[in-house]
Amino acid sequence: MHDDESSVAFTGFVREVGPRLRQSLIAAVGGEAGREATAEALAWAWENWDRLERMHNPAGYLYRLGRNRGISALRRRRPVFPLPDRSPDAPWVEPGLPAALARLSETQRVAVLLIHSFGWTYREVADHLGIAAGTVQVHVQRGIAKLRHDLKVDVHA
Amino acid sequence: MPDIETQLRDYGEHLDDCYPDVAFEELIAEAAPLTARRPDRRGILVAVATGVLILVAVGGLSLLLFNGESPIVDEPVPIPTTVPDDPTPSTVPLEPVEFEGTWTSVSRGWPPNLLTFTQDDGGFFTFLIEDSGGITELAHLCTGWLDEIPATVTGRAERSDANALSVLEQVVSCGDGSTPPGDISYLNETLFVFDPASHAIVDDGGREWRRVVASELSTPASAWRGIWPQATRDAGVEAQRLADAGDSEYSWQVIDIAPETDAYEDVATAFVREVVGWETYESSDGGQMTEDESVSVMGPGYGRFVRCDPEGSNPHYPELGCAPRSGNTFELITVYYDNLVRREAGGIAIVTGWVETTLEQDIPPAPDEVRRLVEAFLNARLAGAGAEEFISGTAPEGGYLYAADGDSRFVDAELVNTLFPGDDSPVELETQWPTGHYGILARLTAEDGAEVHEYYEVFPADFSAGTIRWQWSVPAG
Repeated sequence: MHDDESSVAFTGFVREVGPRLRQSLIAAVGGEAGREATAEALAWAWENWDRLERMHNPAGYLYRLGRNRGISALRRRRPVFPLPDRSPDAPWVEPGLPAALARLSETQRVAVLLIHSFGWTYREVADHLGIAAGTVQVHVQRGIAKLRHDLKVDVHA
Repeated sequence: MPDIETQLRDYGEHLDDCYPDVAFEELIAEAAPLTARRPDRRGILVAVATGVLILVAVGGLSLLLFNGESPIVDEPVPIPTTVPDDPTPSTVPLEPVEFEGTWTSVSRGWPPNLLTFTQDDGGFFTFLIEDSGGITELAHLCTGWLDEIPATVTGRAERSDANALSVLEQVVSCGDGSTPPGDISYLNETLFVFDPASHAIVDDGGREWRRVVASELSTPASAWRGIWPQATRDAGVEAQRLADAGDSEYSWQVIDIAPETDAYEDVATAFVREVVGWETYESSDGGQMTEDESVSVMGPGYGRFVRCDPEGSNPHYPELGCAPRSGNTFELITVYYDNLVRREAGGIAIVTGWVETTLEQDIPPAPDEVRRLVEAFLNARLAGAGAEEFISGTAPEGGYLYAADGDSRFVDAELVNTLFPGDDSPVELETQWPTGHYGILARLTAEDGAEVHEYYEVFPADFSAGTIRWQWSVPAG
């Protein structure tokens, strides 16, 4: 079991990593599945904390673990994103936006959502995914272009 | 109309609201089942390294790997071992479990790996774990965690008791010739414990391994790994050349990276249909084991398929459109594939192996009965008593079973559409295959007008116990 010291360390780890892990997994596998995958990944981390804390990139590892579990949990291949309800306070988005996000390739979707929806920097996304910042930029550009095409938004509008 | 970037920003806030951070208590609830099924390591690891040995071993490895520059080592790095000078097998009980043979990992969420045990004359076991590039600790060890590559672990183990093997030494070999970059000494704590109830091996990473009953395994990673449609490297190179020239006999193998399609689906499904001979099947799940980020081309992957009885029906999951051929047990096949000749745009996919196992589908309770259970739970909350009896696991934080934040009692509750909470159309409960569980969203209204959304899950075992799993709540709207 965990002693007090490791519990404190794990709690700090969850506080620091949890929100970003959740956002990135939501981007990867969808809303509900992403949150469930986050819970599973962090539960795995709790169970294997002595092992995880010695890893080179524990946050990145949990992302891959959660992503994989999230994908497996999906009955179909495409992730599901909720459409905001029609209340006055709800954000206005194109009704086709959630489905268009789901149709993006996973890498494009993760890059687009982390940059434009969750406000990460290119450097932060690159570090999280373990790829070059320039590569992130390419995925974002392609993803945005695909969204514009799918939603029939004039690029010059 | 807001531009795309603005919509995405607003939508991100919406996602944050809908799916808030996971509470610590929720993690513990998630972890509890894992703890319950893990083997007890205490008492088995008595012979594992003393602190001094570990310090010496880790220190030595650190010096070896981190000498101030990027480690460049051609040979696989042996993990520090705790093998005694004069190794003697521990006492073998009268009826030891037969570990010898090949096992495949079947834990949901883990790509399938292969584990082969061979017992030597001295009573020790040698083992080989083949990870074709999945998201496992092996690939993680080799690459840091990204761009997983094929990896193997070879090692030696001895019986700790009749049902358990403890690892004495292991060597990780990365498929690209690289060296595991970090501290891997902890792998020596690995245990393989046979669970008599499930007839499976469980390792202390939580993975479950089942014996491969009927398998056709790919050739070793060091050789040409392709088996179909091209079984040799020369045939693969020629097929790639013809595919590049537009020959339709081969171009169908080219990976389609269009977002609307799933890479490798053609070669995997064709293999199931033409080689394995399944006439009807359903995709269970699948995934890419790596992704070349620079060109957006999928790398090695796998697909799982369950075999359907063309004459049968599956009353428990009519929407699946696939019935098992025996009871509730599906024949399950995992097909591995990779673009072996050229891992870039236009590379052809080639099957590298497959493994057949089984998959049990759980029998879901009837949706109307689940609805009645959940409604009884909600009614108890409105009545102000008895709701605790319905909850398995974690209850709402702060005692908010009967009142919203601010002690305002709940006065109304209703089930709402899981994906579109604002949609007032009737809610139809849908079970999830193959676990048979339901995900249910409810909206509760307090007397001061505050509304919360709560999410529950009801698994078959929960339903039998008359309970639900309370998962989370979030202010509605």
